[in-house]
Amino acid sequence: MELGMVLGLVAFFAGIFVGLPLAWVFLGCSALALFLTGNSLTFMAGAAYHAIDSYILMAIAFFIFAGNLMAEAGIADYLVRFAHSLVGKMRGGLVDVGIVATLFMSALTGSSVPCIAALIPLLVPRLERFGYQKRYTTAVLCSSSFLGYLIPPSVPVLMYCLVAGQSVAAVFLATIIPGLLLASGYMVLNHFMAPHYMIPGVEAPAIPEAPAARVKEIGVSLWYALPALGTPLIVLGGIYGGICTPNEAGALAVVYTALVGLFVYRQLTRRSVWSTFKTTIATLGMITLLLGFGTVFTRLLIREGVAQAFAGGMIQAFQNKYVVLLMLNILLLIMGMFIDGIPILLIVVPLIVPLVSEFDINLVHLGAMVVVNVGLGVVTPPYAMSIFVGSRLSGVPYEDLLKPMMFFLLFVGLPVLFLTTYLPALSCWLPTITVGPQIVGPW
Amino acid sequence: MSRLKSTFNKAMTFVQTAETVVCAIGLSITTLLIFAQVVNRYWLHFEIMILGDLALYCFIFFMFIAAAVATWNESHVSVDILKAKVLQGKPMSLAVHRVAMVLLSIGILCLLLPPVHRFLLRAIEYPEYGTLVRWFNTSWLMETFAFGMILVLVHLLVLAVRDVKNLRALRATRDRGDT
Repeated sequence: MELGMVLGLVAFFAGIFVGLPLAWVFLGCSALALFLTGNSLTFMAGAAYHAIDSYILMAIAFFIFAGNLMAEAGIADYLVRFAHSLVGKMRGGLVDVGIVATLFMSALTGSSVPCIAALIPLLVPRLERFGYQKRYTTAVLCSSSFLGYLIPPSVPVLMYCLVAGQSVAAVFLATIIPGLLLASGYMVLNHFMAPHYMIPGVEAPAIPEAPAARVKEIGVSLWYALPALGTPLIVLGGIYGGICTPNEAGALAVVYTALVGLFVYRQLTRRSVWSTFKTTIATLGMITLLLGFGTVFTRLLIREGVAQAFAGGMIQAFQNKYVVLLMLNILLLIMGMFIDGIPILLIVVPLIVPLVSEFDINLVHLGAMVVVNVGLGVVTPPYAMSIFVGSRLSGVPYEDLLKPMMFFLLFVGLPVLFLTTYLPALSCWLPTITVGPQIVGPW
Repeated sequence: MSRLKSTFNKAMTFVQTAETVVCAIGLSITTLLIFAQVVNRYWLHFEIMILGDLALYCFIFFMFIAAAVATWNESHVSVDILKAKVLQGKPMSLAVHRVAMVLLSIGILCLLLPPVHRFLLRAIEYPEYGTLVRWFNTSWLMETFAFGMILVLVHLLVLAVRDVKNLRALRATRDRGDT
């Protein structure tokens, strides 16, 4: 590697450390490296422009838009009622309601922050009245927000597919089993932890005892939640039924969500639609800058042989597929502690694809592993977006959320990551039987 | 001077609103074109081939303008460890940090402007028409990219002026407190 490139990488880490916006870090260190290696800067404009010319990016835009519309459409209340009818009766079941509602919300919003933004204001005050400590329910909801990355349609999965050139249909399915495992693990752990976080002397609400009354409640709540649950049905049914491509499914989801919000739940007003547009546009603008300049940076890394040097170094140092996977997990986890998901995908995926190809690691499996890691980053301090948002929304100090969240991370999050990494069947079996082995490849 | 300032502020508000409206229209048109593509295929059984490409052009167009919206909205991603751990509770240092970051961003963007200028000249000199949408000159999108980068620069300059003003106000308050 040339000295100019090394200095460019030093500038990259320095830029991140001082808190320069990542898009400018990508662009600045690329310009510096190109200048120091005596290359022309001309390729930067073309690379940044062509990064945006993509149908998958269009799908990302649609899913973000549909997710934001969903968050404004007031569907969280109906989902909570449905989740309550399903799991409210179990021990710690009212907190399980939050986990199940997050699972449903994930399938609607495709991201983590909109899930907790919709559920925390709704659930935390209610559960406090029923005797659950605010810091515990907030911590559980923040931990479960990671499901937003795993349950399709997922924006990070789309981003992975865009960068690694993989099938969206396959990688969407690859993260479902890890996602369900995670949700089940959270519910089991909650069963044991919830009693330690109760406010003494507060009565839990009555839930119908008679089976007939319970079935009726499930039916009624499902009826109200059904229009909202139609979105994932349209998206997944459309893609896996071979009816439409991911970006077409995204557009259908937007139109359907808008219709449900306007005419069924009637919570979308002119003001909330305008606010949704503004939020979506700002997010898309941020993605444009990140993706455009991030592509400049990663093209440079590949052109200057950094990706190959990284792969060569890792192979020489570890020579074993399982150790390499462990090292990748550690690298991704450390990055996740400091950097947001999309930049991690932009930086790391082009670097590790040549490495994993050397070890015949399936790229769909890699996708699941990377997305689980990126999801863990959302709940891993110090830079944990979900803790920041959760703390702000519930008014519980950041530090108070850390202890219960660490339990969920250590006893559920990391074991699920471990299983996803070392049991390729967990991520590759479902896509193989659904979209076919010719698309997924050998694992 | 104050009239000039007020006119400038009004102009900037107009630019920001115009950008948001253009992007909202672009996002809506893109969504409807793709939706129409599905409806045509399954309902009218008549696939209009140009819809997909037209939607993509519309999407690229508004995404470059959205970059400008993200800039004035300050919806960027950065690692805030330094701010959180070292500068927390020090308003002066935070203000200096903000000014430094925005000036650094402007400097970095200026490095991109010459290549963008060459890219723009080439786009103007050699128009490229769409494969399916034959009347659409894709060089317009490259021109929009250049325009978007100029808008980003303008917004960064406005942010820099605001941050410098804040810094000066903070310093003035501190000096008054000292005396």
